Amino acid sequence: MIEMKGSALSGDSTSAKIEDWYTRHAHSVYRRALQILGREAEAREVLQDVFVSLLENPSQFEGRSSPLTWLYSATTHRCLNRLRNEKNRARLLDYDADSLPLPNAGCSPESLLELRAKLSTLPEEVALAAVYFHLDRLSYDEIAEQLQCSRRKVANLLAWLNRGRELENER
Amino acid sequence: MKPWSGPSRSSEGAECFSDLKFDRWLAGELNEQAERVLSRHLQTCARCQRRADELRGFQAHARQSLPGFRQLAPAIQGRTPSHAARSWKWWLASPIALAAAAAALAVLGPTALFRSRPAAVSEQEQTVGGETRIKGGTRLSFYVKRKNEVFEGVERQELHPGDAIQFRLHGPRPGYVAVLSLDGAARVSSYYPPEGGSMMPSSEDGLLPQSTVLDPVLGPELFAGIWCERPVEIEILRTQVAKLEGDRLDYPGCSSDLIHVEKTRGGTSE
Repeated sequence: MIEMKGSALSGDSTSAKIEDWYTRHAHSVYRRALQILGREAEAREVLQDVFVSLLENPSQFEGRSSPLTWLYSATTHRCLNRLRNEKNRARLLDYDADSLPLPNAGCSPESLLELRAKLSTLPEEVALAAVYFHLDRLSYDEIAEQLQCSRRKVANLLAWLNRGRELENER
Repeated sequence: MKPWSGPSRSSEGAECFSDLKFDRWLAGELNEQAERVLSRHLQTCARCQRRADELRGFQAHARQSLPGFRQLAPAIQGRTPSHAARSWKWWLASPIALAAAAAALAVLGPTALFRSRPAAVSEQEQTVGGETRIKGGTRLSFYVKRKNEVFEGVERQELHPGDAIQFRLHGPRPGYVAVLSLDGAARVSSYYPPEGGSMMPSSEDGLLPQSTVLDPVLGPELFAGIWCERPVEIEILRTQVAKLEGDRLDYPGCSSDLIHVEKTRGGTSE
């Protein structure tokens, strides 16, 4: 738990801790938002959202995970919310190959675009698992830590994702 | 329907590392043993070596291009949890550009230095007694330059004499814009256009081309961003602002957005 006294702005040690997180992890938050959303301006807004939200309400981090794990989760949730927003989705899916500045660990831009299009239609937990598995290349154990669930559940979520793919292929 | 092949992980071995593990490594958060295991693996795995290089390169690039943490904190100062959150987009510039821009402001006067995407707007038209009333669709925001800091102002923002402020005003479509203010003594002033001027055509990015240095008068103030389909005499708009009731200006063919601020003594800006 981040200990703080008074408001978020008056708690020097809280602000200092969050600043330390920013220094260490802003690049990760930004990179992942850019991978999921595909646009720099959107990714920068998510980066801002995550840290300003934390400054305003430090108690949302309860210390049950590492800061980086929490930041991964907060970033993913915000990105998925943006993808689900109808007004944003058309713009974010208007893909321009040259606008993606970041290679994605063996994931082709076309596959990434397809994944991004599907994320907004998947149930929340399946979408989270899909991001962690396909974009972040997390192991089942790491995904279980992110989702705070069992390894078995992770397997079920990814199986659900694959079954959805199979059903589509059969049509 | 086209089958979804999905991103492939077939190139990975059982010992390959995730981006999360690499991020921990880059942040210096792996213990000694984990660091040794990762370093040994990097010596033998081309895939992970390549990924580690990519992430390290991106980290270096991000450190140059992302704003510093200090630019976050001013965005929420003066805001209480009870107020609805307003947009607080960053001034998206590198530290070098920030310093250059501050210097340019000092020499050339305030100019348009901010980049952000236009806010989404929605508009409703309503015909009342043969006149078209426009509700919504107008969005006012403002930026504050205080010493060498630049930040976006928020509802109930505390401002100080000497602060330079610049407005951004988006209307529902191309039209004419003005920004007036109503102070605690019920005096109406025109921020834009300058006193004696007329409503000006709106611009695509909404940024108004001049800024104003705040005078020493303290107390509450209401900024009224006004958009109209056709130019309206500023004196008519002054009268409307002076008798404002509720949260918007009610004049045919116009819509508005209001922001309350508080001018306090604070420190002096130079």
